[in-house]
Amino acid sequence: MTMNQNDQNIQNPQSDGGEREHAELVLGLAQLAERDRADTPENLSDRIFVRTQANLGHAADAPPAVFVLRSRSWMRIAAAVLIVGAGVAVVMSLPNGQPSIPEVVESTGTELASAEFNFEFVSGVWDDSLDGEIDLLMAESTMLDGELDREWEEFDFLHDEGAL
Amino acid sequence: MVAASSGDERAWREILDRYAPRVFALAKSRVQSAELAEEITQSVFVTISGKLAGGEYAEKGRFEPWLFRVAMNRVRDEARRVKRHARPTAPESFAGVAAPDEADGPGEDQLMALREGITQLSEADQEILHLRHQGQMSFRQIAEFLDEPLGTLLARHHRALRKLKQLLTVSTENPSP
Repeated sequence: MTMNQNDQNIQNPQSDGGEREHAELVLGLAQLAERDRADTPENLSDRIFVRTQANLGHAADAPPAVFVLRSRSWMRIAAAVLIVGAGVAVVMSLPNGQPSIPEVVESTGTELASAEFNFEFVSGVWDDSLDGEIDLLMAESTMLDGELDREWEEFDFLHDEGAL
Repeated sequence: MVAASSGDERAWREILDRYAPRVFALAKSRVQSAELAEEITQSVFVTISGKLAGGEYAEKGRFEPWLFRVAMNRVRDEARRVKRHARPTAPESFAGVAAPDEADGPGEDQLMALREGITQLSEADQEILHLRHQGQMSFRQIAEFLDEPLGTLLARHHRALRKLKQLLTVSTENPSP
């Protein structure tokens, strides 16, 4: 992996950035890099997709998706459940206390954990400071109060109909 | 890119699938935290998507340097913050990495020591190595990104490798008692 197409055009062996001279070191660097890329969290692209589409308001045609988002704080895990649909992002308020993430989900409807909605558990425990995280997510969303009410009505309807 | 800019979800997904792992790897190598690297990666693509949608992407045909410029700006901010809390690593911990078995490639301990060794390089040297390997950027792209002549960039990369090799070799020759 050390040389890509552009660099192969560099003919002077002294002008390869020292990669031939230090080939064994480059091999190690390549393996480290490969490992880092392989460590990319599962479904990261999906999470980014949902987040960016929600930001841009392009999610109108997207199927509902439920995610547990990671905290913006790198020391904690968020406990926000995000429903994306009809172009708005809905953050569900979660109970205070110290339930684990699965318990939070249990209290808000286990049906949401259906695999068809790409649900993803993130380990961690509830932290009161996550209220701030949810506020931040709320602030970032394009949601209006009326849209929130409509979204909840739609959610309740789908839930009652057994669609969720 | 044109399709993604106009809201084509499939095109945007392709961009995410192709570049998210590279941005993540670059960020992780710089901030040494998978969780923070993910947050950086997400925020980078939020920024990128916003600029694409807003018609602010004017660097036609030069998406990668643009993407990595946005990523590195975020990474630099976080790396500076993380560095303030970093602890120095004893040179002895690098022992064993200088002469990996080329038949099998470096072992786990050697890779760990190598990763630690990189952190002992200057910020500028680390950045070049990470852009090159984690970011998988060509030398030409890195030179453009850093606004340096290609020859200068190649020499700097060469020197960074040499410093790393020297650092690891010294540690191997002078192991801790």
